[in-house]
Amino acid sequence: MPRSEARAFIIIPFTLLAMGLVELSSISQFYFERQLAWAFFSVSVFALFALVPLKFWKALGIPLYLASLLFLALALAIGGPGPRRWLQFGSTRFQPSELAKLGYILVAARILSNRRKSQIALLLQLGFLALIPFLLTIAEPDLATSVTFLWIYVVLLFLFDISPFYLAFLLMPPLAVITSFSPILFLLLFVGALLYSRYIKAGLAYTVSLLTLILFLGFSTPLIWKKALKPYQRERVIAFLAPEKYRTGSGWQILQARIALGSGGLGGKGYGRGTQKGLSFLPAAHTDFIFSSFGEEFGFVGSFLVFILFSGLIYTILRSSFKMRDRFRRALGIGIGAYFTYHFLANIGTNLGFFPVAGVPLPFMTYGGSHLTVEAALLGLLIRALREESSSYRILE
Amino acid sequence: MGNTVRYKGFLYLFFALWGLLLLRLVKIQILDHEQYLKQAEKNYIKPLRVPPLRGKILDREGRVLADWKPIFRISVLGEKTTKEGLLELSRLLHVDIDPDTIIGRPGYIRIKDGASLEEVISVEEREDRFPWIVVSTIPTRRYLYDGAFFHLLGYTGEVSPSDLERDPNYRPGDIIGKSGVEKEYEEMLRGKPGYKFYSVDATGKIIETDPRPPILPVKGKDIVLTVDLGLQLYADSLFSDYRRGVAVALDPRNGDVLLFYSKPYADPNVLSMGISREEWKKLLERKDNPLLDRCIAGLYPPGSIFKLVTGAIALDLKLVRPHDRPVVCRGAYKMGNRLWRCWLPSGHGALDFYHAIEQSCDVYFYYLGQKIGLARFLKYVRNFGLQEKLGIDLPGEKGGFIPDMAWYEERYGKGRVPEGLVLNLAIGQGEILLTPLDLAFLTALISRDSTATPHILKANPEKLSWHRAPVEGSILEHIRRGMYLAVNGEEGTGVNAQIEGIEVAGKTGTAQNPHGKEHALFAAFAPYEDPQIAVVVIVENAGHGGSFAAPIAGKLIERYLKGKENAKK
Repeated sequence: MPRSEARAFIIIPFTLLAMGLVELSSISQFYFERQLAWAFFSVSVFALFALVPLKFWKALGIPLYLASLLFLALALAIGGPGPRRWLQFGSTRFQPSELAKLGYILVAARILSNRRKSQIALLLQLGFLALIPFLLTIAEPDLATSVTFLWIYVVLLFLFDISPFYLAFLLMPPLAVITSFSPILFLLLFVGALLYSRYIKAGLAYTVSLLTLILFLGFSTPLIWKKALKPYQRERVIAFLAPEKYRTGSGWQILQARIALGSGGLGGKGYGRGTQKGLSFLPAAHTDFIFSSFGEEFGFVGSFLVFILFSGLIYTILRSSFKMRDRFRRALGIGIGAYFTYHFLANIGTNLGFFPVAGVPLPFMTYGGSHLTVEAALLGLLIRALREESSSYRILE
Repeated sequence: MGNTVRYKGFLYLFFALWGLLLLRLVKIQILDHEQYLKQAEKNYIKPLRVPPLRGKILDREGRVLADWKPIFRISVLGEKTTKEGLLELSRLLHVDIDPDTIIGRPGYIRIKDGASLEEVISVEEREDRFPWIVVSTIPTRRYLYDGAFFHLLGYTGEVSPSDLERDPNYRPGDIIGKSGVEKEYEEMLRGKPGYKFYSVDATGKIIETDPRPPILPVKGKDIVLTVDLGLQLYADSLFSDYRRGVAVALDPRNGDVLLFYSKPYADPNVLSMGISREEWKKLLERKDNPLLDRCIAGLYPPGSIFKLVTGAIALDLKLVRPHDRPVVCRGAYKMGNRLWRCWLPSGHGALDFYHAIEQSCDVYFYYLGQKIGLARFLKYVRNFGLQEKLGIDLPGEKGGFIPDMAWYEERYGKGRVPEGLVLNLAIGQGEILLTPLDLAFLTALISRDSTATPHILKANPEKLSWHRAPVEGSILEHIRRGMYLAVNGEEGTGVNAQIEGIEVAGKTGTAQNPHGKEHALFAAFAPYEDPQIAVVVIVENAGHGGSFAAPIAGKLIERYLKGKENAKK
């Protein structure tokens, strides 16, 4: 196993974890102490996954995946009013959707490792397995978390050479939904899809059906938006588009996050001196908005360091995974890379006001044991994969 | 190894998005830093408007008439309030609060001024229930002599919506002068409010006082009035037996208002703290009208005092010579086929000009009125300018009512105005109505041939605007002699105004009044040789001017002139 990569997978997460703990201690001693306990637990989880052979985890993938679905359904069934995202165990709460992410990555990697499967079979099997947790989490409701499964699914297919014909059918529908609110963007998408079909030399039937699908989604989405969405769901999106109009609720959070970051400036206000989070104007300073809270106290210098560390981590994960010859290990690595990519982009994007309030944790930094444990497990798996890859490679040599 | 093109494509995509987020981060944290810093401060630094000290109001000798006293003010941070909290607060403070007008409004909003210590404590004990509250000690107006100066000084109160629209310097909850001197000299008195700053948390709870240096309020200017504290309080004591009346005194040499007293009055200390709508309505509906400033807005028939004007016009037109005795009073005057009675049924006999004023003989002035004629009389009366507002520096002044021929023609028809009307006007009983200030001004004018516009604020002598009487000084000299006799003559109607050691000249008046007993009037000036004070006293529904108004006028003059002499010694 190359030294630099191992270093990246240990040093970067620990630095981020330490930064998160520092900020949490500035927010509240209570969160700090609990998170510190979780950090110790996560280190042992990391060690466990790094030490146990990969084939064990490969076998454990399916039961893990099924168990997480069961927990998700349980949370839905026994949860009270309001979001049903957690299962209570004594004084700790456990978020089954985090476990489902781990389960899905393991199961998907296992399916992808079978090189005899047809592309259409991969497409359908992986899609089906992503769809179940997707639906269960969207019902909680937790839109941003549910999208994680789709994201990992699409990234895996993309990097595992799924044919451009299928890919277009996979990517165009969500794009059509997003662009349906802007006639110009929708037109661009439509023309783009047409040119793409010409580029991949698609037949007439393919082109027509692709375009029909795009048109159908483009026109039905606004209808669904008006008729089928719950008011709070619409409000979240609207608040995101015009936060100044919604000084309370999600728009308030987005605005306060931006004020926190912006008022931090280059050097920040200093440890423990953030007024936005200190006087509790910034809600969820310890969870969704820990980046803003950190940026308020440590300024651009601090938040840029977060950017650098994450880009370094993600780049290293993707590069080392991509080089792996074993299909299971490679799929595992890419799935893990997709996980971190999505969480970084979605969480930071929310903090910077690009997305409506998401509810996706910032890996290693956000307060919470469930995601931290899963992230530790993912890194453990990755290190194990790298080690097994390099040793098998040596044997082959 | 996987597909290199796609691998690179994915990396490019990730770094493109990463770069996009970074650009946004730079924009927020570095480029727009200042703007967000301000917003963050606005988030938690809340300014509380601190009212300034209103300028003191002093009398002509520098004695304080109005200053301040500290009171508790309770304000709430509108944007953090809750309905339940406000309703509970309303019960604790015994004030009506409409939560809808407060919830969500930015900044501190005044809820109650003058809360009692018990109320303040009861609120502070429940701090956790309304963290968004602030109790401050602020200065408020104190009037040292309660009602006696009410009509002169006025009172203060919260700015009205129209004030806010008119002047952008005001904010809701600010205090403004509502009447009298307080209103007239608002701009000098008001000063400039300051700000105190509080750091609050998201619930509105104050975490820190003065996170940034406070802006100190600027005290308003003190102003010195022309009135005399002692004279005003003395007038109040002289009126203790009467329910309604007026006393106004001027210094004829410069137009200084020495006395400005109107009864009944309200208590400005009570009004300035704000009274309920019902109490205010009760005050407005009171029959004796305590809110009416009788000095400048009470219109009275001048009664016999107006004979001075009639006489001046007749002398000016050379219709009579002062020593002539053109008519014999046998208790009535005949014009056409109507008899006009003199107030003395037994008659005055034949009198010259001086004694006609001394004894206030109606018949003599009926005769003069007839000689002048209605149209000419109305025209010449206007030369005295009493139909206009005099321009005293107080709000709410009314001009006298002096009808002209057109007004009569409208009532009686063209060419059908009865000539006999002039007889009534000549003795001050008809349609002509004047304010006490008009009468005082007229007296001052007669006393020295000219006088300055009456004014309340001590003014630079060079800035006074002067009025000359519309008749020759020699004519006024005849009138003054008549007034001297009225007080000092054997048959004088105003002998009750005599004072030992000071020569007073005056004229009684008894104004008929359809609503009850006559109003007693008296106008006087003194000392006769060098007039320093012109005073008018009206006692409503008391009876004869000589019996009820003259003694008060005399005592006021004595107090003023002798008080000054005592001060000199």
